[in-house]
Amino acid sequence: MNSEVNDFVTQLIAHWESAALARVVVGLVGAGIIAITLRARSRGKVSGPITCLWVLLGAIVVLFASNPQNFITTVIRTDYLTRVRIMLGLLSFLVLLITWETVRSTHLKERYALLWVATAVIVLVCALFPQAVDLFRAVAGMSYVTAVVSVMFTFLLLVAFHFSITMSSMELKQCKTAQRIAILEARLLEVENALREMPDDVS
Amino acid sequence: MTSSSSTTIAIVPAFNEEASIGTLVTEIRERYPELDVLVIDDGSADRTSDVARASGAIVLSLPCNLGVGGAVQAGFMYASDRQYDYAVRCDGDGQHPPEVLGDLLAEIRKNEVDLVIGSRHLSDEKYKNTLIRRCGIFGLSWLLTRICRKPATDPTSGLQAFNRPLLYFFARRYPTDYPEPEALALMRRQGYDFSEVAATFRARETGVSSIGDLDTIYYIIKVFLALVVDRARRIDPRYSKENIVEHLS
Repeated sequence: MNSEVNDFVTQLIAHWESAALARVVVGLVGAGIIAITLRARSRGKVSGPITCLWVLLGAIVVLFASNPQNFITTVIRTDYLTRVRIMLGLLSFLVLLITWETVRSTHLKERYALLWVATAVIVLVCALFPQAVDLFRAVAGMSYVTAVVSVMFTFLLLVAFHFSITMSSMELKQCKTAQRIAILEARLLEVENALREMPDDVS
Repeated sequence: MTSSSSTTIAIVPAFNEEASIGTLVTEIRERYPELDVLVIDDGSADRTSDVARASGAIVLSLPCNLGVGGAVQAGFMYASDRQYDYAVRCDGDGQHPPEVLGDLLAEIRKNEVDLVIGSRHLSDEKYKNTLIRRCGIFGLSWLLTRICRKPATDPTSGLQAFNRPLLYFFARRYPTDYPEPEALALMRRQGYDFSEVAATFRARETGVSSIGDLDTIYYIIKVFLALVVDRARRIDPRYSKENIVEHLS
């Protein structure tokens, strides 16, 4: 690790060590996240995996606030690649979770969920098995992170393209529906007018 | 029923034309009493529907703005459902003078072609337009004349008359925004025929053209692209002229 980064880390630690008020506020925010999540969980309002994620986030915040020096040095000491992999893993877990929750509450149709799930699974595979990306890296001449990001980007492009197609077909269907409604309305008016002109004793 | 006796319908697409639509409908009805007048209100914010209805037109009031392609197609659907033999389209902004409808109707009633186009460029009077539009129309005309193997001097004209088989086809297949040139190529590929008559357009009285200056560039690119893509599509035998004529008889 070069000296510039080291200087920055030392500075960061020094800043946070002396900022007592800020640490208390951050710590309280972390504790608050945990408390709110557990309360909602006890009332059955959130599912298990989501509780885990929020509690984990709260715990990290509290840990950081209680001892910023150790927290920052521990994070800095871990391998760069490991950190990237953990982040990617969390990201894909998050995408899978959100997709699952939305499909479960029937907001999202399965066919649209499929591409999102595929994106998340690809990222997860990249995080768990870095060697899976090696061949692609060798061919494309990219670093690990760039390779993973370009794979993700490709999938996101597919998702976006899927939306374009869907929007075009929805536009066509909406057009047909609007036309049909207008024609039905016109015919209904004609029937109403005809009925009105009929003598009363017939009805 | 208001529509059962007549065999011909005038299709008038209108978008926010409350100022001129009443006069237009009245004028068409006085000049051609045998015509049913159908106004398609393309999701106007003003009282276009009410004014048209009060002037004695049948009104299709679209719940949202579909653009002129969608509006005109709603008219084709109505005309095809109600089994009109002929239809003539005349835009609601008053640039198509009702007196030229007679020429179109006389031509379509000869039953020689399926579509009659009122062409600005066959008449003696010069039609004023911006340079870029004239270039676009010239280019389109050149391309369509080659695609159709028949002179198409004014492919963007909305002043058109249709017979029943073509109404049936257009009720099911009609392009959306800026549809006229694409529709011409489409129907020609399915075996329909067209001809042109000279027509003088009026300068528009109220409202603005649906095509602004910047939109003209988009128009030209979109239409050229659509014409190329349409050539790459397969002909749909279900809607070929022979099949539809057989189906309707």
